Amino acid sequence: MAETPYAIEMQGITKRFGKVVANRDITFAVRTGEVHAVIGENGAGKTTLMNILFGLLQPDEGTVKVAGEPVHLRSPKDAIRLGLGMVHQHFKLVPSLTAAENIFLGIEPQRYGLIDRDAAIAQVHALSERYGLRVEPTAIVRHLPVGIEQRIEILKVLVRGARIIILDEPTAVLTPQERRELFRILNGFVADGMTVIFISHHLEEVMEVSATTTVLRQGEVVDTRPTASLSKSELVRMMVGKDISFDRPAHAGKAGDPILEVSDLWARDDRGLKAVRDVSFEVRAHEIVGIAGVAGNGQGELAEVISGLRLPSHGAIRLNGTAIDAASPRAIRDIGLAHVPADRMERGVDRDAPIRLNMLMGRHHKAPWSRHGWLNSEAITATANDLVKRFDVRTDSVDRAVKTLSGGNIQKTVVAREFSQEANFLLVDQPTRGVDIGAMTEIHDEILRRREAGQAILLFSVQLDEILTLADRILVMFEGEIIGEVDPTTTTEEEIGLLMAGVRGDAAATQGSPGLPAGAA
Amino acid sequence: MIRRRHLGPLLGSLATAALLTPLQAGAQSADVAAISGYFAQGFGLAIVEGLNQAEADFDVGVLLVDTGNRALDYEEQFINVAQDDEFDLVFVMGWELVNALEEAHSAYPDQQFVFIDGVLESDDMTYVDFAENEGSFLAGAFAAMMTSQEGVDGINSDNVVGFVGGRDIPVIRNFLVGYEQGVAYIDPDARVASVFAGTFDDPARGSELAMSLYGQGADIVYNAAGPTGEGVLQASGISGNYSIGVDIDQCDVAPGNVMASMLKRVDTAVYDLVGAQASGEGVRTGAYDFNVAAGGVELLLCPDVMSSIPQEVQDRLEQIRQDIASGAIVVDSVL
Amino acid sequence: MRFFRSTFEQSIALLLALVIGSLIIVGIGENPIVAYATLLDGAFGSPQRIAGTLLQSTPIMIAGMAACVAFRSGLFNIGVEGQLYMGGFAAALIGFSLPLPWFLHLPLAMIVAVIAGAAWIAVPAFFRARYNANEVVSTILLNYVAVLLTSYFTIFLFKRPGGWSETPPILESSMLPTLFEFSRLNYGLFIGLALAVGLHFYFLRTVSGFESGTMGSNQRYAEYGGVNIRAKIFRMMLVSGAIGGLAGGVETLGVHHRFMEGFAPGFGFDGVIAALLANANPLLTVITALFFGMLRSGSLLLEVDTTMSREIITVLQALIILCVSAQVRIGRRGDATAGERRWKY
Repeated sequence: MAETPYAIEMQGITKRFGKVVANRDITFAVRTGEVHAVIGENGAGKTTLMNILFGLLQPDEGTVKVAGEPVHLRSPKDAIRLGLGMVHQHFKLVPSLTAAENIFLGIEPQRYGLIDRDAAIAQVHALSERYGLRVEPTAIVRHLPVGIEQRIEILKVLVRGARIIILDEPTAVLTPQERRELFRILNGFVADGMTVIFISHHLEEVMEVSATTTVLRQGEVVDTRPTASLSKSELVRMMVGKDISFDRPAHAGKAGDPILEVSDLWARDDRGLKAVRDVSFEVRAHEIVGIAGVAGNGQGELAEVISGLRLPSHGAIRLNGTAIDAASPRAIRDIGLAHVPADRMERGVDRDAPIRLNMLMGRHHKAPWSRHGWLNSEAITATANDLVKRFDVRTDSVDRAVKTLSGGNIQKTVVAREFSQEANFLLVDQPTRGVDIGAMTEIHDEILRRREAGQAILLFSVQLDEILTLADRILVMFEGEIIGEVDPTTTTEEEIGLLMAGVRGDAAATQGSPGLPAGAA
Repeated sequence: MIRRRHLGPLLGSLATAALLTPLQAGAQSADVAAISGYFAQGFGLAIVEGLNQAEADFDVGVLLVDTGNRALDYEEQFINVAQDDEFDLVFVMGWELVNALEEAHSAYPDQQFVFIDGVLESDDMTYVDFAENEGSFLAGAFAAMMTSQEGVDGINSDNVVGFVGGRDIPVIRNFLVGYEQGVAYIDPDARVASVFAGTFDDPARGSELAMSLYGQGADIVYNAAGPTGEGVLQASGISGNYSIGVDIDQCDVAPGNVMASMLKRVDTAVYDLVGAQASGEGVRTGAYDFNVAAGGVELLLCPDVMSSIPQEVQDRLEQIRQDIASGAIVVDSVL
Repeated sequence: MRFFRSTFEQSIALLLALVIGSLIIVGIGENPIVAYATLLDGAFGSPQRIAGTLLQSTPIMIAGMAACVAFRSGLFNIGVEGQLYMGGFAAALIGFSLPLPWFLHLPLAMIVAVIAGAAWIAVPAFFRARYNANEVVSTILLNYVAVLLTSYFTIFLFKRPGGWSETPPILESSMLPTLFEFSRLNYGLFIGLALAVGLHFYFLRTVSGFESGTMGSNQRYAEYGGVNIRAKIFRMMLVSGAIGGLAGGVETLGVHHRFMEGFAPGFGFDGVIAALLANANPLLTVITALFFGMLRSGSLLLEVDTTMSREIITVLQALIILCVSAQVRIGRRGDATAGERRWKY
């Protein structure tokens, strides 16, 4: 093996998909024993580059060296043999199997031709111990939280002998606590001499965890620098090519009449358990109300109840003065709801349908987009083209299937559709999850514009900085209740953090929220 | 005769070239076809045996056409067979084919069709008609004699015999009428417990029904139920009672418990008609009666139970057979 | 462009199936060239045989449309066979029992067939819509019930005196006219083709069709977009069942002119498979149905002209289904998934 400080060297990598150049002459080197962040907007070419490194794609030009040796990676098998491992953004676990079974899927330790469960479990224990990757080997994956699933994915890579680990957007699905835990584990790997390549578009985490950062933009390397030498604003400029402000924008308008009124609302989740408990609040015109909380504390159910996708078990909801707690989604839309759902792929789009139809879903049955039950293709295409332009959705044709778009552009499609409705109430759920910083600021600007236009906005987000930046009032949900309300201009992250953790101190409840559950069980 | 027509020239030459390999090219004195969906089952198998024997003995070409079970196919299959006037005789077996047969008959009036086991309206078709009532009379007489025996294992003191029919259709009724008359001829006080399965294709149901008849005191059960009837025979083997087979020799379905089989000699019938055609004598239209007198139906006593059948029963049976053949006994018919 | 590529891929799959089929035919000691030539001869060798092929295709085509409606809406109506039997039986009842002028009689018999098919799926449809009960199991099971029930009614209540167990023949006023003197091929073929074109436009151009298709491709999104899911599921299943009933009605009124035991075994299932192979695209289902019809009709000559059993066609059909569906699977790894294809044709 040639002596080199680099675990990975990629030189002059170019990859084209048809006319699109996903990677253009990329040169990229990762030192052994460091966390190397690859950062860039969605569509900047990060995933393509990593897929080439892992043998999933073959470059049109360029060479790859592992530990100084030129290699030809025809498939992930080759990459794994060379000690590479990849943890994908979307986990590929079998939900009905145990953690250990998933980890050893396909490479089960055997004794007398049978699977040696005890050996598998022992090995999982040993690895867990060594890197602080706590996983119960016999737990069924279906019952595990996302953070643990990710550890299982990492263990899968480790038992296959990986010394160079690629993580593609590993934090997109994690809570802040889980994220901190992950970073601790990654640091453990580095201390053990392993190399980590960390793909992200979150500035904070890149600054927190990586030693070196490579910035990609539009398929090209902007620069590779020690992370310590970079400032946040410098990184942003490198990523998007322009300055972006992080300041809280001034709010000119004054909250007006109540648009959405929720009182004593209870609802159950899919398993029939109480998920929303005695929630009351209102959202006024010219106002953004933020709902903060750790994911899974009833926010999803609350949003579904308001949008008519779930029936409340008790309580009242009024939109523009009309009771909507038993109304259909379509009726609620007609009364004045626009809804950006939390999971865009599951609720927000038909990934196989063309962009133009996705742009008009929800009002496709109205003139001019349809007449007498027939869709009017010209009107649909015209409106869709208009929205694509207005919201800067990057595509060459509205006839393309939605799934050909990047995640950020899919989200912009959803936002375009919903924000262009004639609705005075916007239910915005995780509007920038998995979206790059450029799209994020555009969506944030759009939300603020809606507020200035007089619309009432209910914003759900698990990203605290997003809520702090946008909301006029913040309600914190914990185990289905609104546990407190804070003023974003005066609150601290600690205060909200305590509320999110369910600590209902006097200090936290000083605002006297109307929705504060007095005697709720 | 080249058996390929309606082919484009290219396909034709390809196929003909391929066809120089052996196929039934017929320079025989007669060509016959048989159309049925039942060649794999008892009665159909007997037809195949008769045809095979005829093919061996008479220098005839034989083609079997399996109709399957799709009503939509039947008519085209008749047309495929009949349209080139290729076959001197076309045997047809199965009531579900009657509509298609009648269509084909009116479309190809010169084609001689032989309908097996029944008589249809048209006068200018040939029918092979078995006197199932006469054969069943013999079965009934035999059953009545046996049920009154004493000291035979599996024969009780009740004067009851059983009957399982496939479906309640005229031809099966005709079995039952002959059977009942045969029982009454021996013993007017004996009772016949009869039941219809509603299907010819369900041996499990046959077994079930037979068991319930044995439970009612019947010790011998006669069946006219195709594959359903095989269940009846199997049931006799399981319960240790007795049964009588039908159509073909079914003695080995439950050896020792199947006492007899009422044979419809369709193999003989088919063989005779093909022979008549091959010899130049020809086959006339109208019904050929295959009755007791003609040897078309008979009661075969199973060899493995012969020892428990008293000689006087055998003698009496032979006497009855002669009486039916001579007309001394007239068996009723519902057809 | 994609259409042609995918058609090309299907053709390769088809060819592969035929090659494997040849090996099997050689294996049973027969000549595959003879087999395929006879097959083509039987399917296309004369105007009469071409008509026979179309005749065989018609029920598969209409049953296939029933399956398309369900599949596109994300519902699995595997009970087309049963709906076909109910429709065929109901049409026969109206056909032989009511003396009416033809312009009333024929439409009435058709409508009753349609209603019978819809009624037969109503219970699975209700349980699917209201309680999300799996419709695959319930519709499959009802197939057996339908076949046995119609058989029971035919034998015990409506049997024509004498002969095979079948109903009396329907009156001439209720017959669907044939197209040619020499074949039983009838206007049912045009009903099938019209349905295909109609469904094509329904799914591509109408609000209701767009909502159905969206529900089929992402039910939660359709719900979010304002589609009343329960009502839509119930309605689309009824429509699917109704078309299944129509398939049976056409067989009774156009071909058999009576209902009998062994009325149309397997046609409903063939329709389901034809629709599956065509990715539930109505226009492609016409093609797959014609192909199945060709196999069926061609196979009849195998019995007469060769020593091969017609059953070899069942083997061939299974091979084709295997190869084509394997190709569809492989195709999914590329960019054109089944879901996307529905927007491309």
